[in-house]
Amino acid sequence: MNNLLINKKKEIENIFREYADDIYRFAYSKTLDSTISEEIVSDTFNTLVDVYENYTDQGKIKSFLFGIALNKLRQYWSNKKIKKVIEFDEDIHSLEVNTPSLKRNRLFNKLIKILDTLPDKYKLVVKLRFLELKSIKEVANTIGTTQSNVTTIQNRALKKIREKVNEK
Amino acid sequence: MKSKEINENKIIEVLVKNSSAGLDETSKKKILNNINIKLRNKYMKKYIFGSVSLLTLVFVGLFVFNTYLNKPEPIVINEVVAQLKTQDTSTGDASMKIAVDDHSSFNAAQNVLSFDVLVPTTVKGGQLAQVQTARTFDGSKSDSIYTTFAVDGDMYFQLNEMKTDPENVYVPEDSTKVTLMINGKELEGYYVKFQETDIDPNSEMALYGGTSSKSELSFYANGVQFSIYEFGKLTQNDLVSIANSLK
Repeated sequence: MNNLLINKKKEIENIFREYADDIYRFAYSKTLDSTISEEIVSDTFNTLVDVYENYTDQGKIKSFLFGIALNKLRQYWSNKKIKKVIEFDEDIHSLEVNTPSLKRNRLFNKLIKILDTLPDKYKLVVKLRFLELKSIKEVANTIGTTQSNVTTIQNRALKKIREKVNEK
Repeated sequence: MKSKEINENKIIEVLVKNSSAGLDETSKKKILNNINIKLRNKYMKKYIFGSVSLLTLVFVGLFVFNTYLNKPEPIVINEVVAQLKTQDTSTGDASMKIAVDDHSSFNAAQNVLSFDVLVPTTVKGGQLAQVQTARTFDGSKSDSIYTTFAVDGDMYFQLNEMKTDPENVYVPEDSTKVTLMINGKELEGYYVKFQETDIDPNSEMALYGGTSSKSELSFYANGVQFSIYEFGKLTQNDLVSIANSLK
């Protein structure tokens, strides 16, 4: 019993080490909330423990995990009575393989280039909020301003990026 | 096209998914700890369930072995004291106690016996093989107690007491009147039959070592019919000897 437990523990720990951050970022990108995202990660792996024995397709573990995480997000929104449409194809299939989607990479590189052209304050807020995944409060403390000011800067920066990325 | 335009949500998504930030180590440790606890509980439950199943299997195996496969082991004794007494005449409850070498005993109780002619009965020089109460087909206890003894290591006979109404006693015409001495008390009964029969190799008799013949000696006295069966090689004279030893 002990050996079996140790083996399962190791296997699940390895999966956790490999994918916990990906799941966290996935959840964060949908909720923009670190606490909820952490809960989604925890719930996802708890579910994995429940079903792991019956899961045989080890090669697809990443997409399997994201499928669980997506369901957890849906449950979360359903409990909060929030209507949210997730673009399933984009979310799951782009994360299914270990190499990031080429299309998304291109868009990311483009966004980084646009970000470099923005005023320093805009650049800093976007970087802290969406690349370092800091909360509004943390960003406000870091740059020494109010939370509402951070929200305003963030919205203006995103608007600028949107305009530039959609320019032909 | 308007629909292909990238909105703010998409921008956030792409930035977040490509960021290098993730869960902090404290949170990871916390989640991993919870996972480990859950895994341990899960496997512990399985282990306990498995052990219980195994234990159940062992008990079932032991039951089957003891009930169907294991021949009763004769206990070597110097003296067997069979004591049968009525406990409650209003309900008819009675019990039978057999003491072996003054320090161990078997008890059998059932609810319809009511007789005192065998109080106490002493059997000397035998080996106690089995004490059992009979049951009817519907699972209730019948009004019989069977006490099986072994003599000389390989001969078994059975003493069967059965409550019988005097008017219902059937005494065949070829029966012989027999007198038994029980506890210094003279007991008159009828020797009902002595017969030789083929024994079914799958029967309980065969299990007890019976081979080809069965003998039976039945008595009726004081409202109780009791019989002595022989499953092995006892002769009619042996049966009479056994009967004579009941004193």
